[in-house]
Amino acid sequence: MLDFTQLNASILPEIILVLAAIVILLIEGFQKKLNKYCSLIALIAVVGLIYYLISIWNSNLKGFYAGVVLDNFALFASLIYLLSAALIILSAVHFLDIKKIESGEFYALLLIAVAAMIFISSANDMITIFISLEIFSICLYVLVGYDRNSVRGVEGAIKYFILGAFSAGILLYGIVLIYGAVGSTNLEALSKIQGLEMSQKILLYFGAGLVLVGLGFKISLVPFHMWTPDAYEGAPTVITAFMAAATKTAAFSVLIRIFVINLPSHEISLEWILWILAIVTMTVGNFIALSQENIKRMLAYSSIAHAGYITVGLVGASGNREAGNVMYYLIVYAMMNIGAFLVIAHLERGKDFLSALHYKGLAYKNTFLALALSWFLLCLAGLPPTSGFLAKYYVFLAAVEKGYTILVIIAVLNSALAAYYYLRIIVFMWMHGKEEGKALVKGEETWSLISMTAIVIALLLTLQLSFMPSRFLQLALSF
Amino acid sequence: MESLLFWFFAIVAVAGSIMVIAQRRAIYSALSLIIVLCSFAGFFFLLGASFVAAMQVIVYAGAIMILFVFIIWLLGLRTGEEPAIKMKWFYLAIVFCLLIGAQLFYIFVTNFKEVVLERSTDIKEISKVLLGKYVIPFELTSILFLAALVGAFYLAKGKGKAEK
Repeated sequence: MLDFTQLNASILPEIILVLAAIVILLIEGFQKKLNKYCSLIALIAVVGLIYYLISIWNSNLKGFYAGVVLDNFALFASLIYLLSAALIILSAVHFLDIKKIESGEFYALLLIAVAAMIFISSANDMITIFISLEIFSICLYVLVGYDRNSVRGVEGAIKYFILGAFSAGILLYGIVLIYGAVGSTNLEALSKIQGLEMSQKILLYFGAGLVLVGLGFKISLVPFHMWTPDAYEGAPTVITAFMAAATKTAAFSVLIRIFVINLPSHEISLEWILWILAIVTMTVGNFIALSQENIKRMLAYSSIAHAGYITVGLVGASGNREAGNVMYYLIVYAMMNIGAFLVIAHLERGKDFLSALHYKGLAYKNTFLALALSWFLLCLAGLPPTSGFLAKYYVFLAAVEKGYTILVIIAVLNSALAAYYYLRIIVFMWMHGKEEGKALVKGEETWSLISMTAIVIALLLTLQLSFMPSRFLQLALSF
Repeated sequence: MESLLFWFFAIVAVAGSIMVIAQRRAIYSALSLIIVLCSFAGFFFLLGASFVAAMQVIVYAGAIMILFVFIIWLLGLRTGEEPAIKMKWFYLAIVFCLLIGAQLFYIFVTNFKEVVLERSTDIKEISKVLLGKYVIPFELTSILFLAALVGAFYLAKGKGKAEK
């Protein structure tokens, strides 16, 4: 029968998050006065869990007939979701206030989404993976359209919803075909298969390909990226940050768990498909980003390009060590991207402050924010002293070691190209006149300590990832 | 007898599916979908999964389709002006249908790995599997419903004035 000690420990983080979400919903429903404590409850749950997860490192909890495996890989992915969620919650307090959006359901849906993401990373069964994916997708569909007064938000939400529902169907079809080939939905059973017949192999190829397509929608690989710019632009900026960081990590962690760790490479190899997807994704993402004026759209295309770089890491990955490199890239990417979006959210006053031109002369208006944004953009561009460079270096090195030199050359050329649109914003901020800045940075200066704290924390984390990465690298390479 | 029933359900299902996308009126499409779902229930019954067959009829053909029909009536979608199938995408669709059809044909003529659910007819056994091996996905669906409920409630409540 069920072993209750393990049962509780392996899904404890999710239980806490869902409970916190329910408490928030009850407060929202029955005690409107206590509304302002919702964010506090969410924050306590998330920060507490960060400490808890670090304390259970290396414990490899298993439960539910090995259907849930909270190993170091899952813990590291969970750490990324929780760190992202903590920063988003801090920043959202101010953001929702300014935009006059109701807050109750926001935190509840965010916490449920994080719980589902932890589930998806620790799931060892494809049914659990599918249902968790659906849970956080549904939360995100709602959160993208959370500002009901914004037409663009609703448009983005509907596009995301329809394409997301379609991709979920494709993913499920892929899972069914893999089940047909292998006879089990458990990933451990998948890793043990050998000596498949030709017909089963074809089934497995079709199934794995469809799973790749279904997850490709979530990480916006290029033929499946159509929803990304609209959803990213329409969503409240803090949610855009969360989607770019946490959703991508969740889908990539599933890809790693299925394709790198569990799918036996002697039976089936999808590297050449990933190879093509990686090249197309980075190139298209970067080229379209070059011509974007809206800064959120630009970062949306930049996130597509980064998905391409991470896919290079997947191509180069053949075991746990390389998977660690990819996870390190993901945490670096999550932190710098969230940082950039938080600065944008902080500066955003209505929809007028999203064009790149508005950032002209920002350095003279608010030097700290300009410094922070410059740092995050340098990280995203991957220039040498930053964590972005370090992460790219590890990922590309693994690919070169595996013999994918052409792929890495294209990736490096792409990063050089990408530097243009990041540096353009920095030039706008620092090298344009004081007067221009004053003319364009209008609106009353609202200064929020909490939102500023979030930016400072993101800044400190990216600084640590850049200059003292050993602690995070140790964690990332420990599975 | 069994193969006769199979072909009967198969023809009804395919014909019903074509009706779903070819009808101009939304309500006819919805009613055709009920036919499709009922014939699916027939397939499950033929496979010996009588519980799944019953669920298919009660949940899909019963509850969910009633909601469809209600929503169509409430929205007043009585006539569709445009033909349901757009010719622009027709040929592309045929290509993809043939691709998937060929794939499925190949799967069925070659040997499919036998994954027969031996004891699936018994509701007791189903509940044992659901609350044993698959307890996590089973419980997760309740969180899925919670999230969907909260989300739907939030999006539908109150009236936000849309900006231009």
